[in-house]
Amino acid sequence: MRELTFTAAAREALAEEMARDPSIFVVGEGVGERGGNFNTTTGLYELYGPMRLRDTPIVERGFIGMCTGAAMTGTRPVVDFMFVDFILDAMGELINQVAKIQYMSSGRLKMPLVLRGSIGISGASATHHSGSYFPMFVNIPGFRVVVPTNAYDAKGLFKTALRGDDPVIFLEHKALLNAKAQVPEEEYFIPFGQAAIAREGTMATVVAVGSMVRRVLEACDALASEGISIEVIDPRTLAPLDIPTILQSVHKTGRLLIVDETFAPCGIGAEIAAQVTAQGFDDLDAPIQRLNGVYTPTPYSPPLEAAVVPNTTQILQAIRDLLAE
Amino acid sequence: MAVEIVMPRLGWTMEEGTLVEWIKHDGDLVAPGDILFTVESDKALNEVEAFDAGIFRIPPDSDVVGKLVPVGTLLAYIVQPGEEPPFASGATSSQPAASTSAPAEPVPLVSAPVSAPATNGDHANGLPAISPRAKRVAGELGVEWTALQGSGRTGRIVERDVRAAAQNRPAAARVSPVARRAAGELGVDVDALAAQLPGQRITREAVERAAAQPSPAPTTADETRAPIPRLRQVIAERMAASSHTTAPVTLTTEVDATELVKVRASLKAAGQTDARPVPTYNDLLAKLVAETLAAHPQLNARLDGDSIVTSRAVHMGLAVDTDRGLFVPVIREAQAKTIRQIAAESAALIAQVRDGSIRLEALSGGTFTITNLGPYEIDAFTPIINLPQCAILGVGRIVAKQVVLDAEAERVAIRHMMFLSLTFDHRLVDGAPAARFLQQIKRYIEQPYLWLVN
Repeated sequence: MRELTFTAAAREALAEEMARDPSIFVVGEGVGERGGNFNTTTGLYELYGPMRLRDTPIVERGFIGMCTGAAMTGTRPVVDFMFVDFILDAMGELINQVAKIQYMSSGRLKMPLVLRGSIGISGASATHHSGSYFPMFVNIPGFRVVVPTNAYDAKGLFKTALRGDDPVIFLEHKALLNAKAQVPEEEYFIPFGQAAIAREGTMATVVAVGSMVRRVLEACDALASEGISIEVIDPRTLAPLDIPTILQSVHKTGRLLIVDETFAPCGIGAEIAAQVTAQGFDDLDAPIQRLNGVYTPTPYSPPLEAAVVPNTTQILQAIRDLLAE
Repeated sequence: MAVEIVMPRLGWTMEEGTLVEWIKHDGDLVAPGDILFTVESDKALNEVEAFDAGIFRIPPDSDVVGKLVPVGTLLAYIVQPGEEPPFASGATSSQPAASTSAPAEPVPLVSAPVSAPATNGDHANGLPAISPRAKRVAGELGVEWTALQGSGRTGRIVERDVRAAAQNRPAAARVSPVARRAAGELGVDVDALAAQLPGQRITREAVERAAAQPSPAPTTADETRAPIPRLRQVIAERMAASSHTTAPVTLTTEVDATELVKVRASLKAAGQTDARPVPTYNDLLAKLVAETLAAHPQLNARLDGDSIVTSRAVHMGLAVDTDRGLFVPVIREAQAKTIRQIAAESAALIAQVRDGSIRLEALSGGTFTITNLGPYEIDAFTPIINLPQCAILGVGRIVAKQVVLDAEAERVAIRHMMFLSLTFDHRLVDGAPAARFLQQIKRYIEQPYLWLVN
């Protein structure tokens, strides 16, 4: 089967859906002739021109507001934020309008708005370009929050995002954009709220989010040679969150670790831990543990940047500690 | 990561100290709060505790005991299971720690509590800590967990401890991690080994010894191997307990049972026209032994801790052989029952034992037991006391013999003779009273009217 990068797979999903549905258009800084800062729209401008690949000035709140209005009228805007950190300038529109409009209109208005952007700590991007913020969005009712971790999932989840009627926050980790995976030629969709079991195992469950999935899988390869069998779950979407799959795994293993690059307080690990404790208490053989990035603005210095993200050594130690509980 | 154990600063002005004694030794499992070693400083002896859990590792070339060393001298490590202590990195007993400590690694935010966890057993309700899962599994498997030793980091009982207890094998905690690794390398079943050495901690040496020994001989083609059935296990345990704890003495005597044979013959003849069960020899013996015990209560007794409990009531156990093994149903208050009542009751009990419907109460509480091997043409034997009872009467076959009735007149006769074998616990009763008891039984068998009129 052919292999595509994460970026190419997501771009293919966008191209397929734009060809199928003329109401889809893309808005953002550099998405036109330039093809997007992360090549998210490369080649599409030639096909669909400036009406459907609209470059904007640096006014996030302004173009989000316009796209919100456009979505209310029945079109399907895709807003490309380049770095999702920039979405913060539009939080008033997002939380008060985008997330609430279907509720406020008793469902008469739809909000088929896809908001995409790169996330995560990678390549000395410094603190204004390294955020992930997904716990904030998960906290707001109304948003779908998608964090794909490979090219296959990126395409299937992006297609689902472009077909739905709810606002979707589609978050692409910078460290994963060039990673290749097998992507079939045939059309496919991945539903929201369905976690992937990235690796089957029996002795402990590790839920890994975003770029941590790859690191955890590497750690588990090392542990497998010692006969330590770990199950790894990639939630793929954080809202909705597939708690049943995690519970099923914990029922099998009795132990749970959540590895997440983002900050621990009120994070996705806290949410998973609370739900598993509430619903799977009798399955727990040890306290649920979390391994998170350091609670600090991301440093620019490459050695310091590396120091704030959980590395394979720390993941291995966290798993060993969990097994020793 | 290995935790370095150094000579601590035990007072503001302390610069050096003497390690007096290792309390924990190389390879020991340690928990926070365990005393690792003692230190003498400023003429005071101090105990040094572990702050971390893991395996205590002392460098093999350590010669620090008894020496005065500077504060901060690296003495030992606490490592995690499977982790090698960094002995090879040049850390020796006389190097100060500062020269060996690696630059601090960046530590991610792990939201586990970092304070020392409460050790097991500190709980307000006095019960050990147990994980919710272990508690659920204990419920499912019917394991009584309150006495288990937990192998979790804080001594918490975890699932593996409950499963180990359910399988009647000692908890994994008793096997040192080093031993477990050695067992893996040497192909030794470490859990089976632990089961063979109850109460012992399994060390690497034990694993190596086991590896050097040949495994138990496999069964040959003409042998079969089967697990011990539950009833056999119970019988085995009780017989062994009796044999190990009592001081058994067996007295035998030959009895002229001719009159008893006549009694039984008449009852049998009368029984032809009677629906009630005909009293058997066992029923007659149960009644006459119960009468005898009334006069010799020291044989109707049991040892209970520091005291001897003597029973006025005679609860007579009758040993019954079945397809499944030996059962001893009990006839309550045999001394107060008529022979007819005993006969009816014993017939019912034996039927219940044979068809498996007998209740546990009917099998317990006996104060004396009769076992009869007469039907198998056995004369005399040495029964084993049915604990906690004091004595058991073995009954032999009744056989017609020529006996001397009057030596002076040189008169002989053919009589029905029978051997009795009384085993009694010499801890409870001496030989003479036991002999008098057996002699009384002999009288009653030879002259049944003596007790039949009672």
